[in-house]
Amino acid sequence: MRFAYVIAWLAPLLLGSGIVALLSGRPRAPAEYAQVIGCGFVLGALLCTLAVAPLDGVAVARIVPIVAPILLALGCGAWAWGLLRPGRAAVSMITQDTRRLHPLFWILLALLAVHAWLMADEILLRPMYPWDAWAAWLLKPKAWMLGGRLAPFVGFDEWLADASGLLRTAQTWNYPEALGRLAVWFASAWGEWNAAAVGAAWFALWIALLAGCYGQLRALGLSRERSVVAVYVLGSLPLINVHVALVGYADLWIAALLAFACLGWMRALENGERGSFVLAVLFAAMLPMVKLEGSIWLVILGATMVYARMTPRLRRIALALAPVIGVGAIAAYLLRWPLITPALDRIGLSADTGALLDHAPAVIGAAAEGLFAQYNWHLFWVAVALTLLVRLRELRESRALRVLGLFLLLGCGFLFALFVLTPAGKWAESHTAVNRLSLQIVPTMLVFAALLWRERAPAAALAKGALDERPRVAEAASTAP
Amino acid sequence: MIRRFVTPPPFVFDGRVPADFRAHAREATRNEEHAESRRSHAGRGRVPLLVLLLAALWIGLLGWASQAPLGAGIQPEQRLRLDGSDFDVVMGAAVENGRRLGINAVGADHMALQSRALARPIDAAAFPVLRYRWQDFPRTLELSFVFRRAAEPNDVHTITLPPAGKYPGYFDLSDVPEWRGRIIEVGFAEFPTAQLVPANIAFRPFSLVEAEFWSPSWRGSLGALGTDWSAYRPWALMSVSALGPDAPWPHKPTPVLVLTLGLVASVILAAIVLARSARWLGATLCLALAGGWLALDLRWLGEFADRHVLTRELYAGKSWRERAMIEPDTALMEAAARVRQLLSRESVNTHVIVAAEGVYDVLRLNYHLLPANVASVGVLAEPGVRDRTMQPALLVVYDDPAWIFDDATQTLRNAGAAYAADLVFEEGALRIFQLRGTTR
Repeated sequence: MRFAYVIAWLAPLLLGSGIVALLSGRPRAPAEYAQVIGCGFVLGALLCTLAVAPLDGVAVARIVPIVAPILLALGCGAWAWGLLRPGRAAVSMITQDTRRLHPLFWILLALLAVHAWLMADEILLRPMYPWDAWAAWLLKPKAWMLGGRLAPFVGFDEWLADASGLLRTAQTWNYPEALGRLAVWFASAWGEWNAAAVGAAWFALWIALLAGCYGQLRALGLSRERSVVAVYVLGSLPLINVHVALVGYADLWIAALLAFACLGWMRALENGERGSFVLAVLFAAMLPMVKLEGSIWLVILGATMVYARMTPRLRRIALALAPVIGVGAIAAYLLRWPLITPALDRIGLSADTGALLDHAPAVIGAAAEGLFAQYNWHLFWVAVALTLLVRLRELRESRALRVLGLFLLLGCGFLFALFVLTPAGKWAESHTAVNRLSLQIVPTMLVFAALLWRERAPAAALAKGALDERPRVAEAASTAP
Repeated sequence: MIRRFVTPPPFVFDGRVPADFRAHAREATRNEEHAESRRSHAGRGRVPLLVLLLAALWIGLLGWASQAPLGAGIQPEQRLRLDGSDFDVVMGAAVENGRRLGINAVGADHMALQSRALARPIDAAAFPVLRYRWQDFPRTLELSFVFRRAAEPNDVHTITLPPAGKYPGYFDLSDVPEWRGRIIEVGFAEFPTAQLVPANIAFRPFSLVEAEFWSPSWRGSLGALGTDWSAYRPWALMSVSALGPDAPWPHKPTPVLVLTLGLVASVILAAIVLARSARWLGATLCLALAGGWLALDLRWLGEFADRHVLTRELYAGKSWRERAMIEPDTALMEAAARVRQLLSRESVNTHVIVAAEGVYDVLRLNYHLLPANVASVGVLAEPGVRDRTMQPALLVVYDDPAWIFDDATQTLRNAGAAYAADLVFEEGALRIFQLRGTTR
């Protein structure tokens, strides 16, 4: 293994973990280390792609030598600042559990290790396999790597007319390039285009997702045993395993960003941690860098965050207006209302709405089959439904979880509208997209369900009191003469 | 009860203090024991009832999932057995090995085919279950069942079968709409798993042991369900989108669905029969789902490991450069290598446009041709392209007869468009043109 490849891993990890440690506090407990490393890797990897972005035209062999020292210096600086900063809590926020873990939980961890081995070996051995890996997400980095420099990808017209031959094109020329830049980062450090050297980032993402979720769930008050169960559930989901083993898709990156953004936001809501809120905003802001629908997730998450900060009066107004606006927009869309039809045509939604509605039952059936009857999710969606039934009281009592639930509800609404009301329904009927898009919210759905299983602790009750106090004050202020 | 008798509530004064306090206490104890005994007796009756109900529920569920015919017996009444050696080799090469047929070579298109014309045609409806047994069937190959009907003797119907493993495989032919009428010929075809295994290294010798056609039976239907649930499922391009539909044969309800329905119904049934609370119901459902999850996860790990065995078989122990050459589309890689040879004489930044009949071929060629400055043929279909300036480009046409070149006028035509072009290379399915711009 080349030294540059080791540095290529260390630099984003050091930078990301340094920022996480700076914002959420110096890690002291194992779970906090897990959170800092897990969230830190994802954050650092995507910040690394931002650092590579201005290097258009630079020889790929020079990318790591130029960028890595900067990232390493920034990472060291962030860690030093985090460790030396006065006024931080000297004790861990996580209640230490000194009891030995029950053997049953070790069995779950052993099962996860088997999953990990199978995925890692598959990544190490198999060349890029799934369709969008070689047709979309990893086409650009391979072109850059083999071409020797980061050539810009442009639209077909511009490419056809380009006499210099320095521009490139692809069907996916306008897709976000963060993953492509990350791939070229690792490949250039390796010294040649190598699917295993690039694919290792997906395996690291899986580890980071599990570690980050574990640490954040512990920080949010979930017991160690239940957090292990949650991590096992997440790590054993077959479709997530497939997205790791057959590397090259962007959905798992979106899923991790969304889950980390929501977990940071939960910590900000429940514990009033500003640093966690900043982290949540950082993760959310990176969503559009990865995939086009990341922008939609950002809008939905941003809207829910704004809603959570509204005064009760504004919230009531929003709750009353939202269904009216939503139903109105859907009706206008289905009726092809002349004022909005040209706008819909421009964004590719000019479908025959009658045909869409005719297909709706088949689309809903195919989506339900994908979620409940195929091998993709084990019993995940049934377990979420059961959790909601069994722990409804916990949901009622936690405002933070209610707003997270609202975000997930809006997200599910978006997916429903996308598949039932747009031509994208054909991808649901053919089972090609419905599960991949659902995958993007599965980790968030899982942490939501896991947090409903928290035991009631005095600290949580206090935090809840602190959380509930703010709206009450706001309400009092708004009704004051 | 005793407590109430001995210590009445403070706001009720009962002045009737029993004369024989101990006698009353003994009687109360006896009553309590009697009630407990009645409850216990009833409980003892409930447990066998629950066991019966649960057995009926799960048998019913498995019957539903396997689509077992209600009136059929456990064993099939009729079996039509064909030994491997009863089959004739149509493509490839084989030798008889006792009652087996050892297939030791493939024919054209890397395919092997064995068939048997039936002396007496069989009624498809009377034999809806196919039982088949192979020895050493390789993971690199896809297995198909082929048949002809008396009504359409010139049409060959093909259906993908779950690959056979160590044990006999079962397949419910009643899931295939074409399996109807009188069947005059049956057979098996084997070929490299599409888009997964390079055709030139896919073949390994294997043997057809036997094939049987069974009349409807519970054993046959449950066997088909078991084969569907446990058969080897190779990776497919569909796998990243949905697990289940990525295996290309008709499917039965999955264990995920059967477990969900079975566990939920079992726990609700238990709560009703044993008169348990809603709280017990919730807690038991959670435990049942946890158990179901573990069972499904172990099944998934088995399937994952099964898929991974092929990956190791193809790629383990090889360097990256060797592994990178083992791609499923050998013909496309060879075409790309040929184009790269020609491109070595051109400027590195020459525009290359790729055309082929299928989207898969276009995109794969695109990928294999990197680092050439390459684009798919879609660029020429963009609206307004004909009116714009276009730099000279090479058009690589792979196995696509829709592109017609008129040598006399030096014009290349496709889908109503015409391009001024020179044919610069032609070899097999590969043609390369130098585009000089668009003619209307």
